[in-house]
Amino acid sequence: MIRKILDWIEARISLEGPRHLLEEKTVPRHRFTFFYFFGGMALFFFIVQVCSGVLLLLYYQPTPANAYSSVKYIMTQVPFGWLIRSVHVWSANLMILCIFLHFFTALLTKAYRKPREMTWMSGFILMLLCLGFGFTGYLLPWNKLSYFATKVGTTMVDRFPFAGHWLLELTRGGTEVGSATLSRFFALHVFVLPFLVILILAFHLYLVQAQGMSVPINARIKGEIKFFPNFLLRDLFAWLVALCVLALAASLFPWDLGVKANPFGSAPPGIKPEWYFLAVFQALKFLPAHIVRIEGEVVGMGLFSLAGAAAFLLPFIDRKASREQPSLWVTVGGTAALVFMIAMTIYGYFA
Amino acid sequence: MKTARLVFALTLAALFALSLAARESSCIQCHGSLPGNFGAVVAQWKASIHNEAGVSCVDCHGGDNTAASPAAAMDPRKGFKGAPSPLDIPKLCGGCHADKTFMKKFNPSIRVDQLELYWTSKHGQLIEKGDGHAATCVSCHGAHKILKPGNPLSPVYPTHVADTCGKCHADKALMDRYHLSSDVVAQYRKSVHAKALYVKGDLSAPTCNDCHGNHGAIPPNLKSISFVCGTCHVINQQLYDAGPMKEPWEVLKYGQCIVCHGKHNIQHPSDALLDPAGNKSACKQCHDKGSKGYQVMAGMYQNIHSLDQAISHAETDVDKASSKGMLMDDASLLLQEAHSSLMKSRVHIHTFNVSKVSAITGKGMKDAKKADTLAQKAFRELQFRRKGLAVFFGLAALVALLLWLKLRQMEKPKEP
Repeated sequence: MIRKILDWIEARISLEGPRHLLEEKTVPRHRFTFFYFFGGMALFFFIVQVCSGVLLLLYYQPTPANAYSSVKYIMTQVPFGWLIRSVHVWSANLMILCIFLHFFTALLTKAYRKPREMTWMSGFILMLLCLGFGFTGYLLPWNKLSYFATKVGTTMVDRFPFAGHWLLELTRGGTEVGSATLSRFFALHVFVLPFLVILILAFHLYLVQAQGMSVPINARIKGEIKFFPNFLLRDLFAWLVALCVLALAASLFPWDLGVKANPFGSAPPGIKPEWYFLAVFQALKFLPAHIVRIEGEVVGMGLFSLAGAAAFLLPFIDRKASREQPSLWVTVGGTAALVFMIAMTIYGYFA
Repeated sequence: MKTARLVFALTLAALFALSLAARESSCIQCHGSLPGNFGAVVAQWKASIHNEAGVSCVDCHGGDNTAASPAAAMDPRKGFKGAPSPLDIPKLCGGCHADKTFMKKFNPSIRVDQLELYWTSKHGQLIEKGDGHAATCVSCHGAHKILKPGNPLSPVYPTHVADTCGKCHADKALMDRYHLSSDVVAQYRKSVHAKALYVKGDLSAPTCNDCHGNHGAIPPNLKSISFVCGTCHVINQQLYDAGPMKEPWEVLKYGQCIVCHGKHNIQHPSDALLDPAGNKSACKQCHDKGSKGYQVMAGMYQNIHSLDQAISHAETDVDKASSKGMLMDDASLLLQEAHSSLMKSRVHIHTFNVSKVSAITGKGMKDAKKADTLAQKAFRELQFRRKGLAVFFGLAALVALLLWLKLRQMEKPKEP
């Protein structure tokens, strides 16, 4: 039956490319092969995000008056609404975790080196877009914590030199976080970001398939695994593990809705952003008020922007890796960045 | 040249006039250099509201503050009175403070009835009789460092009132003269009102003057006690006044609220005041077992205690469900309603009517039960989720096993 369908399609368009990919593609086997699963798991969580997000859209109302009550309605009245919302939030967090793991494993195995510069850069943009998903989605339930966290988060934009205030008003749709902010964040979250992510993700996946898997410098190759079906079955196994973790978290620890936001109320004490922004938030808090007459936060944001730009352009900076030579400073820098992020996140969580 | 001389002369004249204006009165000049209390009064007066308002030494003590020598400044022929006697103080202060026209220069809405009220007070009555031990204006407000009552340093600021009254009312020797108890301030300090004022920092919590009055301070009349307490506890007073106990207690000369709650050492009321099994019951002071009053007490207690228990039980369940991640907003709302009913029923014991209390607790019971039902529903939902998760894990394990078997089969080394 499947053969008949394939024949029918092949009579109209050539399936040579996909067939060649499935029959010929192999995945190298070495001690870091399991690193390859993180990208696939992030993709799996993204698919879950899209599916659960569409279901949430059936009931969610993006206005300050109705946003909170509509999410509450989803969680209490809609059959399995609690599960869908919890799955959506948990998979968002797990997706970002997998993206971070994917990013650091690619960084430390120098997977960005020639000819995979575009794969690395598209992946980096995808990571930023996913953080944007987290930031915009966090406000949508319109609860007290998300409201004030967004207020603090968007204030950072104001620190931007020269165009800061204009950017702040553009982000918020006014001087304060309000109805216009919610509409903007909603539009970004359900239309702009998904559109961009799908576009860039398609390019990223095409490059991965076209160029094959990167092998760490000096890694001892133990053999090859056929991509189809052997590696794909392993990928499915990893997805199954991801699904189990998601089901466990979403069922036993449903995501709290909190209390409805009151723009005239006082901010909750010790307000913090989501865990994936916590490292930056905490590091900025450590900076003094002024560094050489410039605001400490501005200096901090500038340094983080520089670090981000350096990471984005790493394939062009790290020339040694392009020559298949180990580059110690990237390994040390990458490990230091990872340790810094973990330490700051833990400190920020308990501070 | 003539113009220049004229300008010079005018400048000198202006400087001389300014230096005269800047000179302090002779009272300040002399007393400022004296040791002890004679000198301290200067600094006290300078910090006072009187200094701010331009009321100087001579306005109270008389004399001439422009005179150069002490003898001339404190010359009785110039109206010098010295330190006024306690018996003269109310009239002395009232000379300004009871003068509407004068006082309104400083504040158009200021009260000027203090002296009038003072003469109605026990303190004023004693002064009129010539008893100089009684409190006068300066006993509470101070003599020289008089501050606005709203100033936190003022002795009549709410947190200082008990200390100020206690200067006399905690003085055993003085109180014995009037056959009054000297432990009222100490008792007040143990009360729920004092805790609200000192521990919670609630400045609206009652202190001595809120019940006794300030300038017209008197012990409340037996018939007026419920009005005194009712200034804050409005509904309690209304219910008591409309209830069956008011008339008999008036006949028996019972002191209304204080019969059950006490006077100065008023404690936070608890259900133990109604508990027939306990030893703190206020009703049992008069009503023996089997009497109608005893039955009313037992009936009210039973209703309130049952509601209290039902709320505690529901709260435990709702908290448990919340801690497991269930959204319990509706149940919390019902519990708030039940709490309101409990509070209302406790107020309604002042009707001394079991059916009225029962009507309120009945509504509270319904709300508490509804909240508990929601908690039980949440527990069932949790069970369902756990079972669902177990089924899911079973299926996932099966799929994982099949995947593993398939991989094993595919990657089995082919036999030659």
